Amino acid sequence: MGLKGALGTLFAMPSSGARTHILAAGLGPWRDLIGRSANAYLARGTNPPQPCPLCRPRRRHAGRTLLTGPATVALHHNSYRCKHIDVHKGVAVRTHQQLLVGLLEREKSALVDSWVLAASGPQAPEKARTEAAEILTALLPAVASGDLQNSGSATWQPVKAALERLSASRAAQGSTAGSTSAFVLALKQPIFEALQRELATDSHALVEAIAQVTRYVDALAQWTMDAYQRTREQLISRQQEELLELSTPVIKLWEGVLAVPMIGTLDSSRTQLVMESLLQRIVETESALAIIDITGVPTVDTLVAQHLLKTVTAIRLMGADCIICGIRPQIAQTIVHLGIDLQSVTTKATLADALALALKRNGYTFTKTK
Amino acid sequence: MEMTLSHETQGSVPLRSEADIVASRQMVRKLAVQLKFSLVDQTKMITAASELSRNTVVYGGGGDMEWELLADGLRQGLRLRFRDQGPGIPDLGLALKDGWTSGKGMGLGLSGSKRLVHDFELESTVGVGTCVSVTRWK
Amino acid sequence: MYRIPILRMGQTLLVTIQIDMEDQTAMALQDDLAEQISKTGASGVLIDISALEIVDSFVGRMLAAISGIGQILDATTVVVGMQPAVAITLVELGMSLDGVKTALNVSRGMALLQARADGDDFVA
Repeated sequence: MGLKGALGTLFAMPSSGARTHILAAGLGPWRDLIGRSANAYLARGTNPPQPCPLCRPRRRHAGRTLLTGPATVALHHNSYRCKHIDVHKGVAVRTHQQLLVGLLEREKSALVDSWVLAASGPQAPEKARTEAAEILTALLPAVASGDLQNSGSATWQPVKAALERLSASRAAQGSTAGSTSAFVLALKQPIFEALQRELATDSHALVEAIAQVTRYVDALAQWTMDAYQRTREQLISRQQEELLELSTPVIKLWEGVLAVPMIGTLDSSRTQLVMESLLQRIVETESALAIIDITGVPTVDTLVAQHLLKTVTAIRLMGADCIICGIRPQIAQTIVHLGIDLQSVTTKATLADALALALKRNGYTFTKTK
Repeated sequence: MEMTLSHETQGSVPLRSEADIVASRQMVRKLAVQLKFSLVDQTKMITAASELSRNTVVYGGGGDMEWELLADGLRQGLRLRFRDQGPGIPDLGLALKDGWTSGKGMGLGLSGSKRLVHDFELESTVGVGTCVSVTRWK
Repeated sequence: MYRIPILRMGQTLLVTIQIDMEDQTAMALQDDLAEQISKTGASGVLIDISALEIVDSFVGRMLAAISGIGQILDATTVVVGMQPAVAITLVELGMSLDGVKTALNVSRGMALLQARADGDDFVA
């Protein structure tokens, strides 16, 4: 059996029968750093430390190098102290991984049941069970790959997707971020209990496994929170867009006359929206005149004036013209005070005045008959 | 010019002659359509490309337009880089001011393009060359 | 080199730009129009850009130049059919094309030119 095989055998074995396996690895009797032998450990009821086969002393004999003798640098359980520490850690982690994956696979159904019970109580809806099962199923291959650091990798995508579906459904139901995260965190308890049953005799392995599961489930809870936040933000931005659109409707006042009542602060995004929808309507209706009513715009400063002028310029470039109305006296004062040049844009105080002017320009005259 | 754009995320278009300015517009249109930009976004990006391509050909003595499809999490974008080994721009602040002209009307090319895109980077060394990088997100 | 055709309709010269022009094509159009206005004594020039999806500063300056040249040669120029996206982009670019007359479409443009010729200046 080669060194690698020996290493594998050494660390993959359960605690009982350690002595036989150490001997089987061909190391022969050995002593640790303080002179105790393997048997001494077993006699005290604890697992003997595993010597590092890579640290075995060598001896040259007849021109060949022989691997012989006991390990002179010994290690104690998981606190490896030899220079091959990285090798040992790698194997140990992989082993715990395999143990965890095995456990999750075997007890999946029972875990789902106890998880849902712990999270949502005995009256949990069927949907919770489906969601839990989905997450656990997706978790298995991800845990098997052992790659928690590289959470962007493809193995974690199904888990993340399952968590996003969970948080989307919870957000839609009106659950809080906290309760959704608590649901995910409730997975810890059932797994800990299962691990306790499995690793009753190996307290160190149990501690390692619990630490690992904690890392995994914490990461899951983190992603759930992030997904929940994103869903909320998407909802909010969608609502904002709708609000924006609703607040700047383009109205056909008359044949060839469109009107846009502006409500709220006029910023660049709203200006873009107004320009796009207004210009589009101008083309569609072949209206040569657009009335922009700024009664609902609270303040007009140089920036707002700039946005207004951009809109007017765009309208004129297309071959239509523009009247701005709804200028309150304070706004008029501000405009003069700031020295804003409205560049020969026709302005009227009220929408009624603007409409009258628009109709007159189009050749209409008004007569009152009574 | 190869038009197989289905998997490519970056490429380059030469800018040596006037015909190349037209070609660069057409290329940017293809990319913007591929990224499903809105009509206004398409128009702004293609117009910016037209301005900067012309700068490269006319004032930069010829160069290249490198394009790259960007993905930053959920959002997608298009980045264009215009490089030349021309005389360079001595006063960048002046060049970015509206209406500045170095000859027959580079006037609004740089400052105007800046307003048409989301991200704008300008590097120029006199006697070495110029690189303008513009990005527009969906 | 491709030259954009100029049609004559009575006293008006009509140009429809339907291609993505190279710079030299635009310059050639400018030259040709100047020559034609002079040769025919036309009083109006109508440039239809409803098919143009991109108008950059070069084309914008060409339109302004044609308008100015026409004015000197006593002809009114109207640019018609600018697309909304183009208008938005030109404005953002910083071009207002102040001296250039515009109209929504060809028929409105022709009406404007007619009114001008008749001496009615009600359309500003």
